[in-house]
Amino acid sequence: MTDRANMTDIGEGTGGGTGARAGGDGAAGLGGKPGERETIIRIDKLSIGYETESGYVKSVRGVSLGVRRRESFGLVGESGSGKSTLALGSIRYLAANGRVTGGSINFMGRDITTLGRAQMSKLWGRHIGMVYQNPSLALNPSIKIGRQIAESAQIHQGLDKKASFRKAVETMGRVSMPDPEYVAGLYPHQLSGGMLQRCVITMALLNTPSLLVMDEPTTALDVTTQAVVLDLVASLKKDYDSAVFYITHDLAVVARICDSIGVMYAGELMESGPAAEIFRAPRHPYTLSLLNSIPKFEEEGRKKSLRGIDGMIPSLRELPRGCVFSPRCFMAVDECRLRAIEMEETAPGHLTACHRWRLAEEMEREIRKGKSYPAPEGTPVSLSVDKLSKHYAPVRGALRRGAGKSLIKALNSVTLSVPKGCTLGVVGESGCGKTTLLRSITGLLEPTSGEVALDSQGLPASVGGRPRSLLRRIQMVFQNPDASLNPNQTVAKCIERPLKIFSDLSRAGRREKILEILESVNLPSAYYNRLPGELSGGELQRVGIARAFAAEPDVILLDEPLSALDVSVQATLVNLLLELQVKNQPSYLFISHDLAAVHHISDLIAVMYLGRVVEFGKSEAVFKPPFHPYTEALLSAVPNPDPDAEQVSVRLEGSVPSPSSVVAGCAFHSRCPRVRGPECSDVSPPARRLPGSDAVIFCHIPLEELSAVQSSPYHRTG
Amino acid sequence: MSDSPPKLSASKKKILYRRFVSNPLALFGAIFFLFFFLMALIGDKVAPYPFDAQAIADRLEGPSYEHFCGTDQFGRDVFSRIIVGTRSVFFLGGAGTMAAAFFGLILGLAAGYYGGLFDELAMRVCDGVMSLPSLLLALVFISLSGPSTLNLVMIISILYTPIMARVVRSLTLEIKNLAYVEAARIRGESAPYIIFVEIMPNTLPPVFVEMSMRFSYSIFLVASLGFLGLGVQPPSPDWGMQINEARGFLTYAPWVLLCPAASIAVLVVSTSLFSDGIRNMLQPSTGKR
Repeated sequence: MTDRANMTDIGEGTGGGTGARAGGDGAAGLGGKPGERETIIRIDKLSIGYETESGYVKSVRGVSLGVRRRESFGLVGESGSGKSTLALGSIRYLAANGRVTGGSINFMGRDITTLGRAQMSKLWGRHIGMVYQNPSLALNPSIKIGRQIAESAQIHQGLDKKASFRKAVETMGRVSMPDPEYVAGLYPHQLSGGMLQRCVITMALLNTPSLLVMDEPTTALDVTTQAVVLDLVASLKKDYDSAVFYITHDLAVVARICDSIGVMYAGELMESGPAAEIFRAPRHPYTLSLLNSIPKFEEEGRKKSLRGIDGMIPSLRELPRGCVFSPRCFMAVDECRLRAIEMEETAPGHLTACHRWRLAEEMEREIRKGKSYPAPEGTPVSLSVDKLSKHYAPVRGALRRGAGKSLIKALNSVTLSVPKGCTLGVVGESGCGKTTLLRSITGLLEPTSGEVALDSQGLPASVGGRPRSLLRRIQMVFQNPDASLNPNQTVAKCIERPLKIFSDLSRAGRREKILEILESVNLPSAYYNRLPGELSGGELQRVGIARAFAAEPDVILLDEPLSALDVSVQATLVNLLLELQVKNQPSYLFISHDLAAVHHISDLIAVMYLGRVVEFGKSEAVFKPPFHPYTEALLSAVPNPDPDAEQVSVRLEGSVPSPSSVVAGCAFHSRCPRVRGPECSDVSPPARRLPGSDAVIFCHIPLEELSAVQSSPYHRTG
Repeated sequence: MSDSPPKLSASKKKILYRRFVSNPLALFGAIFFLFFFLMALIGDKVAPYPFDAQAIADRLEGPSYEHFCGTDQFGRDVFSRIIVGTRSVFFLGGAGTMAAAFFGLILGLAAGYYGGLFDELAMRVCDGVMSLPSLLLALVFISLSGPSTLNLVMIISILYTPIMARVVRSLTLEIKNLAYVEAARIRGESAPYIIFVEIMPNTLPPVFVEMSMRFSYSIFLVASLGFLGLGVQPPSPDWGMQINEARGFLTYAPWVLLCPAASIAVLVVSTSLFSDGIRNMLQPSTGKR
């Protein structure tokens, strides 16, 4: 353990954090007040800066917090908030151009603020475990899992090859890895993302670290896999006696697994304290706005505008005076912009960097009143797909795998329809065929069989075969805003092109129209001649939406348009999409893995699994029991930002099977928690119509039986 | 998650400039490169002597104030010949690389965009050309077709087109699957529009970097061919030819050989440094920093 002589006791009044005392270095309770656990890491007024080619950037400024043994501290913030810098800086694990410029870090009673690299290196391996966002990059693809994990024990515990390997297998078992012995002999590419992340977590836990730093460990995973990993993380602090420093952008994840949280914004801590307290009674206007920007699974809030936060995070080079959040704050007064804001204690252990916090909640409630955008009733069907299938022949060749395998069925007889002016949300995990569905509708992919129809008129299968008048009617908004605009074309040129092709406007007419469209997506006309490189992610996506609307289409395909954006920006885009739909009456086909967002803006929902639709119907029917067992699992996997909600936990084992494995029966049978018997695997499930609505569930289990065993995924206990 | 504050274009140029200037080697390379370039333009006007003025009485004189680099076996001023010879190096290398970039772009874009049999054929031909030693190929080509300026430019472009085409093709493969290209296809844009308006402009920065590198290689090639007598023909001055002619009296008049040799070295090194600087400026992630 650490050098006891170096222990420093930091008394109270150093400000910030969860208010714990730096305790002794042994069993819990030595030192501090009775019953209180020792602080593993305490950072005090920490500032971190980066040397960049455009000058010096202060990424983190004056942050104080502490994490105790068996506590998990969630550091939440949007991109650019400095959360990763803070977490990595607090263990002195910064990039070469990063530097701690002020404040102190105390790790297990020892000041590590100025410790040399060699000494830190010992600490990192022995006492600090690290889990990264992308597990496939954290593991070496050419070394077997077991060896790779064992290596750390060899170096830091001095174990020999055999003992370290045994230790690795044993630890893998403790993170509930199925068949650890077998997995240890595999290479990383043979495992799924969720399993890989479990391996990385094993590696981090191998030396029973005192502190576990997790940087967005579930962001790259599917919801159902995320749920399993989160369960694991939640159990860790009990089993391992360590402190967890959890970094994420997802408030809901934090609500699920963290005891304390810190909310960061533009490099400063806005609010910190016990998680339950902050979610129940947020005091800082930023936290309040952020929490209300997240769509909730509530029928009453559906199709209403979300809170959102206008503007964007300030550049770290031109920070506003006074409170950093003041330019975007709904309750900022002159005083906020003049003086530096100190953290105030609003409740025991709950600190807020706002001097007007007493007013925040009430003022927020005033503003929040959402505008409603109901769907039109009884409109005719606009876009429909009928028994659409897309099969790929496996790649054949002497050295390529897949030879002799059966067809890859990316899309399997999908039938869906959207009425005019309505939104159809398609949900499913990666590999469920939602992207293939979109590409087949656009004609970029030619479906193997089936038909896409607009206003009941069949469309030619490929883009090349469709006349201009048809091309105009289907437009698309893409997932990645950085790739959806040509970096060499100005905003105006990008919006002008569809106008030029699909309308007969003159040059001047087009110019006027572009300005009009820019205004409708809330972009200033000064953006006319900007290049994409000068825009933020949210602004780029607005241009992407503007380009789609410029053609005045009947159907807009939205391919995960929100998933690359921050929560507050997502909310403003949801509002924009809702508003534009009411104004121009296009139908939306909205594809997403974010169930809450889909639920919020969709009138109809289709749940897809392995290229098939397993449930389809009106939103209110689909997200209410009886569910398809897959829908049930998806819903119960979504973390809920409401700490009072008690969630039913249905967990899926294994990973999505390959779409080439021949399934005669139900696609979901191999992972279905409610699987019944041979009929599930052998017989195609019947379409069961929900009484009183158009919803269909493809399942062998009768609806009455499903209703009897299922309950709504969220119970409010509070 | 990407809602970082936008970068401003006014400062983008500044950043590019600062990136370049902060690299002393690149700056050093640029200064020498520009000096030679200037000589290529106005060398014949500023040379102290006409490049072919013979003065038999003053043959093989050592460097002096009158003759910075001494005189050669015909009493011609070596310095003047070097300066005037710059033009052919720049012209042959420059024209050859530009032609290579042009054909490479067309070939790479078409191969990358259309793929299939055309791609397969074009790439195999490129592989074939690239697998042959460039000097050997050049020798065969020039000895068959004769050492004219056009033939020299042609052989340089034949040698470097495959490399350009490979660079452009791999970029095209990457770009053609990006969302903005898909958006164009959904709009029903024609293939030429997609290739030349949506894809090509985004391949240009790497092409410029590759061009500057190829240019420094081509200086070597031109000098080698000159040395072998297949470059620019006498009496026009040529560095390679100068070196060849000076071989015989290397022991007692080394300056006649060393000065053009040093010129080649300095120009090649400065062009390389300059091109590294450009690469670091345009693609900071790929260069070592």
